[in-house]
Amino acid sequence: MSRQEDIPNDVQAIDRSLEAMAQIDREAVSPGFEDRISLLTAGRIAHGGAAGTRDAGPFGLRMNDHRTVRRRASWSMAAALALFAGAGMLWFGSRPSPSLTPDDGAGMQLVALADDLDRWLEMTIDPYQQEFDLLFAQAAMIGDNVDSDWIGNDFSEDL
Amino acid sequence: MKRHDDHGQADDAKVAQWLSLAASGDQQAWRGLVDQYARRIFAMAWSRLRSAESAEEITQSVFATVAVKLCNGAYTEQGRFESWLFRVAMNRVRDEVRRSSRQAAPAGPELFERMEGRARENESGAGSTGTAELRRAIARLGDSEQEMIHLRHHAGLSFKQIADLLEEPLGTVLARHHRTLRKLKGMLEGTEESAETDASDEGRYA
Repeated sequence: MSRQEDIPNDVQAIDRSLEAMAQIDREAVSPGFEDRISLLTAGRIAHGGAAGTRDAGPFGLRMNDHRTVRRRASWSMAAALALFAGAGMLWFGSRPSPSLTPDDGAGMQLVALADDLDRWLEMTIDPYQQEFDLLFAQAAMIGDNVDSDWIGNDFSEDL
Repeated sequence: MKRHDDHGQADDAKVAQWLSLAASGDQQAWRGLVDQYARRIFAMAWSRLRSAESAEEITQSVFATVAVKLCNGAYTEQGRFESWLFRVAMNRVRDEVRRSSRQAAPAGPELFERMEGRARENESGAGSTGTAELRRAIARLGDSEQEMIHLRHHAGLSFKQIADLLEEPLGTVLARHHRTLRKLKGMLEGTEESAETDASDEGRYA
């Protein structure tokens, strides 16, 4: 609450209304607000402010690192699946029995296995992808903001 | 008594201790600073920008700046931390206002209703009467008048701190604040001209 002795009598009521509104606004944060702010900025304290390079996010992670790791993992999985499927086709194709084609029996199981793997990959990676993207985008934005000079401001931020 | 004591918040000595410890990498001290100031920065930004996402991004950005400047020695505590902190925050808000004003459509009444709806989800019930009208009236103020309201009420700064932050005499800040309140009062009562009737405030406090 404001110190009312600083406020003329005729505007004390509106001063109190503004204080009440400000209190509501301070409570308007979403759950875990302080946790997020602390988590996303504490890395700079831990690293003595050294994480302020343009491409670095909190805790020294870099957006490119994260994307590269995931891209490599995805390509590795795809390559492994292709090799596996190719080997399976070769094996079935070399068998003498005319009744075995890739469309039946073990061939169908192989295709089903590949589908299951594909679905598993989607389920395990994609639900977190959006959160990862958001986190690293925010980290990159903070890095950019910290590194920028904010020349457009009217007031210096240095004391 | 400093104004932030009125909110039951940490005193200057405690803040100075947190700053010193945080500068040397103490995570608990850093968390103390975040707990102390993050909501006030958020409220200031949210009230001006009407976007929770932007307000949270700005809060993060401000704390990132503070962390870097604390650790690299660019900030030296001289009892003016809050003035500096909210100057950084005010500049971020100004930048965002400029950026968004080049892109966004002007706010309509439905936006204020949505803001009020969100605020009601969190409010305890006290002091809510007429808050939507008050927000609409604030939105009709000039930029510097809105800043005065946000620095004083949302950021919770004392008039002395606001004077320090804006680099203006204390009397000028007091006069501007009171004139802004009278203007708001006039808007809410439908007699906006009442804001013009006391232009002598500045002389009174000088």
